[in-house]
Amino acid sequence: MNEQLRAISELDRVIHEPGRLMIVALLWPVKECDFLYLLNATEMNKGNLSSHLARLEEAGYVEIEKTYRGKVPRTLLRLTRKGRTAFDQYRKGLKAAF
Amino acid sequence: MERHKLYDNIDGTGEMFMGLMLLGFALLGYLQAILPEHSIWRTNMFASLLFMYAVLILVLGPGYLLRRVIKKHITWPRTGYVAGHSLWRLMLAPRLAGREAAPGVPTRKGLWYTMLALGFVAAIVAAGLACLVAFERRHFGAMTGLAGVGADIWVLYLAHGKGTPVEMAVIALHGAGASRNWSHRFRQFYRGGAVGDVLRWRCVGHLRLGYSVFIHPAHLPARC
Repeated sequence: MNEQLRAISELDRVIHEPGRLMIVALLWPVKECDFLYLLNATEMNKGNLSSHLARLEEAGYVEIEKTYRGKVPRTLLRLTRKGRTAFDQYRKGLKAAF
Repeated sequence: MERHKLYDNIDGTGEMFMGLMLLGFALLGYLQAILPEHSIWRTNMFASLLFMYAVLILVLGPGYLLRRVIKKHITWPRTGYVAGHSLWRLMLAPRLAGREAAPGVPTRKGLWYTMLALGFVAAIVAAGLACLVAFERRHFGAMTGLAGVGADIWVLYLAHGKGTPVEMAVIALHGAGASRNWSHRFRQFYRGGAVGDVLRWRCVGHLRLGYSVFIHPAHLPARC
């Protein structure tokens, strides 16, 4: 297998899925955001977004903090250091492949 | 990926704050004009600086609080909350800790560009002020024109090429204001004319806020 093909096969599959890639790419340049911001930006439905976030949290890429603003629940999301490193690696891998 | 930057002024609070800043400057000019000739606030440099800061803080402080309140109660429940990295996280903290910033955090390059742009603008303003001092009133028009061009560049940046009717109205309003400033002398812009600019920035801010509320209906609390 040549280097380029190897780079493709080694891409992070958690990030590679388009929905999750959108989420990580949106979280990458910001400090934190809430669920509504991602919902507006990605135009996914709540269920899809929620399941992708759960998968990313499971992989340790996203930190989910549930708080309240008054009586209104608020979900804050941020990329972890591991998530940033993974996304950085993913970008490098993609560049190496193409 | 830089989408969060579009959210900075999605509600027009930046323009409202700009209007308040101009109001502060106009008020300062007015107060300095009506103060007695031998008042300590005019003759003593430190006292006049203190006076200037006090007036600006009195005007801008409530403006800052108003911006926070609008964002918290009107904007964020509709568009969602997003926060960029602080300057501390971007540059100072990693340097002090003797390490690189976390991967992906936009670091030095963007910051240096911003600082260069700010330096460039400051140099233009300084050159304009130097012209004012050196040639007195002959260059008031040029200075005002530069201020108008600067404001237009900023507005075009804020408009971020969406081309919606409200964005077009915003640009038209600012264009009209800038051309009015161009044709007037600096002193008129600074004193009497400033009221028009305050109103213009406030109107634009409210227009943008109204549009933002119109296109972003309030969501039910998000559950994840």
